[in-house]
Amino acid sequence: MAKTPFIFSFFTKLLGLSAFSFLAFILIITGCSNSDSYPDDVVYPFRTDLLVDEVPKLTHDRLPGPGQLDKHIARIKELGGKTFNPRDLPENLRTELDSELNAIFGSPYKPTVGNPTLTEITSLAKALKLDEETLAAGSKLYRRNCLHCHGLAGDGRGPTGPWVNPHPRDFRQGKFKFVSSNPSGNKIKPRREDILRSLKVGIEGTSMPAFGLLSDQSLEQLTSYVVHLSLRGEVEFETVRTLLKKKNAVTELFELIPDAEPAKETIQEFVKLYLKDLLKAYQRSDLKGIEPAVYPELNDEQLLESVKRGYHLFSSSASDAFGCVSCHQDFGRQPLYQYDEWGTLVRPSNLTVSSYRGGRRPVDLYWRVKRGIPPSKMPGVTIPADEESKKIWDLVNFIEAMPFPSLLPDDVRSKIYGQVPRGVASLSEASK
Amino acid sequence: MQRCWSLLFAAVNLSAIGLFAIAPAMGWWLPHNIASYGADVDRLFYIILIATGFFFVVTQSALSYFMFRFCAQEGVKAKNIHGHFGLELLWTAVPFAILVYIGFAQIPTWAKMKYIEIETWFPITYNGKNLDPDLHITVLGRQWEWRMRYPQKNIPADPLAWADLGNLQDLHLVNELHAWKDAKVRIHLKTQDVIHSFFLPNLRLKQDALPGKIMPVWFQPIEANVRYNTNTKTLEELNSSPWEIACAELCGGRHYRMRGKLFVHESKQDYERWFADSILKQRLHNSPPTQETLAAGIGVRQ
Amino acid sequence: MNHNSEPGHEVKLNFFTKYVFSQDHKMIGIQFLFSGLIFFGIGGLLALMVRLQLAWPDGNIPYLGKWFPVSWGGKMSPEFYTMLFTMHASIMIFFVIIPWLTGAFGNFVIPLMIGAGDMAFPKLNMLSYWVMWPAFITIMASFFVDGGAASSGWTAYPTLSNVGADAGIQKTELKSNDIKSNEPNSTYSIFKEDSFNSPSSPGAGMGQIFWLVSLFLVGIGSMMGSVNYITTILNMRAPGMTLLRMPLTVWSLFITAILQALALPVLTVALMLQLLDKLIATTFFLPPGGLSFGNWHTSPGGGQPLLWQHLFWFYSHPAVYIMILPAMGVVSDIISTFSRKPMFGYKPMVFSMSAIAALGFIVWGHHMFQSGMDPRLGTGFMLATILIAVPSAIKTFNWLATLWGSSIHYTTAMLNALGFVSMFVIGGLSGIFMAATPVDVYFHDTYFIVAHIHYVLFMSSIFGIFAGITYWFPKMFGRLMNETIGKTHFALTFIFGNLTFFPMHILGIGGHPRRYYDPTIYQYLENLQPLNQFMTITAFLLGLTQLLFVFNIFYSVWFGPKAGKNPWNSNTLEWDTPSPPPHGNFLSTPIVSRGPYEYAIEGNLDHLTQSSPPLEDIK
Repeated sequence: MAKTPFIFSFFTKLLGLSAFSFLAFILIITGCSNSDSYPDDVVYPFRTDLLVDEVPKLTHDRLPGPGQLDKHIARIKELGGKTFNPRDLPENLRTELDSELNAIFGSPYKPTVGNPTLTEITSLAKALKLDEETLAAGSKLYRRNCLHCHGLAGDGRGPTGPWVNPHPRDFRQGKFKFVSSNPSGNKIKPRREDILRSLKVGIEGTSMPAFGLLSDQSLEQLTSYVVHLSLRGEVEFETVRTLLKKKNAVTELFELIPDAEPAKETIQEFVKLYLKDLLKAYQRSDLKGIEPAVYPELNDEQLLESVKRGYHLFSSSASDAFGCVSCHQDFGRQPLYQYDEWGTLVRPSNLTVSSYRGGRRPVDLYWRVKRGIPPSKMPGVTIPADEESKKIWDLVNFIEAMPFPSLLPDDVRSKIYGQVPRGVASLSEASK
Repeated sequence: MQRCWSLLFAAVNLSAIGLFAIAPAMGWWLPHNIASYGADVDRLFYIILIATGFFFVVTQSALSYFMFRFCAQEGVKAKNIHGHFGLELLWTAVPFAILVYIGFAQIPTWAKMKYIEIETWFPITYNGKNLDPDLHITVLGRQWEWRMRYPQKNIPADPLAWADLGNLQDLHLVNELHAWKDAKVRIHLKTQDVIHSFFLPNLRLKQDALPGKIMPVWFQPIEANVRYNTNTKTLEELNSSPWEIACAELCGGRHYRMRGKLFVHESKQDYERWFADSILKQRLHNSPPTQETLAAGIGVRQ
Repeated sequence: MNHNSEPGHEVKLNFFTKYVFSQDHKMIGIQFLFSGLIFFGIGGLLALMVRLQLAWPDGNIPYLGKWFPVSWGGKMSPEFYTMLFTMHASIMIFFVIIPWLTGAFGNFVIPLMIGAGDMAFPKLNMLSYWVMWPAFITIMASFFVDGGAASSGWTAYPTLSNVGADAGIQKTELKSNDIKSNEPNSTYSIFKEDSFNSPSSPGAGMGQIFWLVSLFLVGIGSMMGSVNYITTILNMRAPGMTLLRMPLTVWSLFITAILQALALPVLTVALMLQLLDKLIATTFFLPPGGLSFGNWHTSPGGGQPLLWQHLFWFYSHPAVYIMILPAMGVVSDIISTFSRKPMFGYKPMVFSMSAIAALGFIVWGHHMFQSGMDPRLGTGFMLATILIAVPSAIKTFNWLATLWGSSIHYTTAMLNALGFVSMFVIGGLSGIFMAATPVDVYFHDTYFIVAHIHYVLFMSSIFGIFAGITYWFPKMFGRLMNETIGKTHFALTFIFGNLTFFPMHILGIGGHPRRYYDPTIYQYLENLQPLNQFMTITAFLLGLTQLLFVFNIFYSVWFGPKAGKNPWNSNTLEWDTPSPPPHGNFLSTPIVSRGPYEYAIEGNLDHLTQSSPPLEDIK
């Protein structure tokens, strides 16, 4: 059809131009995209979300909807809790703290704990497998597997974080729920094994999936990186909280570490001393776990008796019992939402369903009963050491049997399930 | 000059055939089949591939040839043809015959995938026996993982009730599906939130898990890939290529995360040895053995 | 008949009534064309972002990564990815292909081709376009609501999509004596505002509601269009234009309109049911036991998730034919025109299109072979699906037979039409794999399906659309499109399109599931990754190529060579009136004396237009 010279010349130019841009594009796209680690210019962001100091003592029967995490935390003040806004921190203190944190903990691209000038911290960190190499590998794995929930800084606010409930753990307070450590001293930190278990089998009933198909080495590296994030977060959290609480008085910070001897009272010095304290707490916790006494082998009859005793411990408010039922109302079927230390609502577990977040091994249940879940306000039991194991094993036996009506003694069953037991069909089979 | 356009068409279609020709050599092909009915599925795939390939070559080469041959030329006029009844009949009947053949040829395979033991190939009355499973497994899909539950002694007394409620002594695993070679496995597929699809490429198996329902799934692996080593308490892989489980129905952002692995043990005895050790690990009453004590053989009850 | 459409009737129009709120079917067609173009661009960009993620799933996105929030760490989030492909499909299907084929072509060519002055209901016609705008705005706005755009795939399967309203609330009867008397417990209601967010995924909240509303509006618009087309075609044909003298384009649009009129109500109902589920917590698609998402539990339902799949596919399978039949009609006309030869087997073409439409209503179950439907039902759907390949084969062979012994003029329109035929063969043949139940179980939701749908919808329908736009452009704007740019655009699209979509078959055979954010975590997909990267590069080139087409349209509207009344020497009625046609289309009502494909007449005549007097009279 008709063709004018103008169009033709224009078109040759166009073709040349597009050919050039095609080539440039291919170079760009292949050049930039092949890394599996963070971009090297990304830094850990300074905390900007509200910091929960005290939670309201309220219970709720309903949860906030998906995506409402921060909106919800913003309401805590109205409900009688206490929150601080890290943005209220004076600019100079903020930069001081931020630069010190970056100097010690590096960036997501090159995470570290300590630096060459801090030999003591570095060697402590090394003993906890927080060396640079492990952390770098952990950072890559974290970016791929954990980032979209737990977020860049481990704040539980990745793009998906606020949209799942229970909310992904915010590592920045250094608190963990499912721990089995029994250290001397007051700071209870998880053992590596505890974090590894959560990674390996996931947390049933939550959005935390199991990463058991990753290699053991990868899981170790991830654990190290999680500890790294949690250390950084906790140092930041405690510093900011104390400063805001004590009207920005730096000297007040050192009351958090009474037995330390600061050379000078600056934020830098505090960060170092506090970190050292934390690392030691990790070391102590890792060494000593709760060791239950040997579980007595029971025959069927003895087991029923044990379950009965467990039921008493669970539901009675007598002084020799634990009275779990005051929170696990209706054996946990009533969702009695309470605030946990992160300012989110959590509920006592529904124990009539055979699903246990902290693991389903009897020893896991033992640890939960003994240690409790401190950040969620679940207290551990305190009983004389001589009857500890016996009583806790009774309770564990009861908890394990609770979801299966056929495993319960008749009177206990009717108290939990009423006259018509749930799942009659499986009775005959379950009792085999 | 204008007729060169036919070359573009020919070239593009030739490279399409070329891609199919080199794909198997590059390993871009069907994953290794390990299902009892898998060979039938593959055969059906190849029958269709040949039939469609034939028509692809015929139509595309006709198109390219016509484009080349009948390019407009000075003084050459098109033929005035409005149609031909015989030809229409021919190209209705031939595809019809081929398609009906494909249609009926697949029915026995379909029945086999769903019922395993059939007596008659004709589809309307599935006069087949439902399979007698050697192993029951409950698979619960959730956002975003597969939770597997294995019964003691492989077969529970009341499978449906067991699939619903389970037992205290069940083995719980996440994303790991264990069976043994030649076992007839019955999966009770459930989901607690959205629709997931249980996809095992090597078994040519795919089944959606519907909320509120327990879907029956069957398969029988004909090859093994692991052996349980009772000394080291580990699974030894017999071949390097993994057999994986995927989710094939969009189930949220981390749909891609629902990766699992299929472990087919050499024999029933091997599976049971692995099961016995795994259940011990799960019924642990003392602190779990660390790597060091495990290596020394301490802390694991025999 | 509307008085405006009387031939030769002069009407005064201002800017608004002429270009914006026009009741003229030609202007409405052009409006559909340009809005489709905008959405083609948006949908294409979404697709490119999907491809970028697939090729380097673990990489940092260059430049774009900086736009994402810091906490995303330079990557796109998996939820964002699901929004991308959901919106890509929804936009391409409901805002590009259907509006282009039925909206742009249907409006522009039906009255012209049957010799009518305008549509039967011009005001309804205007409304059918302007109902689309709220839909456009809603679907674009959904990107900016809390949680982002819809992310349950364009199929929106419950229960991923429908869990809404009260799913965040666990309803339990608290025994009064159990509760500590905390006063705020009973009165405090801070959580009301978030009741639209869904626990199943971020996009399943407000975004999904917007998506449903938008599709609902699109459905209303299409419904108005299809009623209009059916009435116009049945009642307003020019004298002598019998049904079997109508061009195949009109036939295909007629059949499409019937398909839409019968299938759309089902989709509309389904959308409404899902909307009710989300807004007022009905439980049409929620199973009796309820669902649990971590700590969030839904109330027990009484519905059935599978119901949606049946309702949805009852519309959406015919919708696939809505998206291809008009292109088949357009391509038939173009092939006949530029090969200067009568259409081979006009009646078989009409019958096979009708057969496709009729069979299209009883094959929806082939999308559900693995969904938990009774296996015996699957067999029935399989046989029906297998049969639908027969009329498709008939059409292909008829196009080929038309080319045999013809005299092909390689214009841009013809090349695109031939591209359609070639690509439709691939798309049709790959469909046979899916029809076979045992093979489909393996291929379902893998890239084989993605390849198939892109061969049918992109490589076929879009080539048909390119052909149609180039073909009718002179009639729309009175100017020809530039042929050099047009041919370059065709060649590049043909090459890059095949390079992008053909390897998807191979991915599918390798078992690569679709809608995966990061396939590389699977070991069995590892060696397919180079193909993914290759396809991404060619997809970007394919995207860039489309700029040529856009440029060509805008350039030619103003600078293209002037076209006469009948630049292609074609027979159908629209070429019998000036370009662009005046208001009311025809200067005098045409009288039709023959079918549309009288080319290569014996003697000296090259062609005989439909409206020229009978041959005996000329002699």
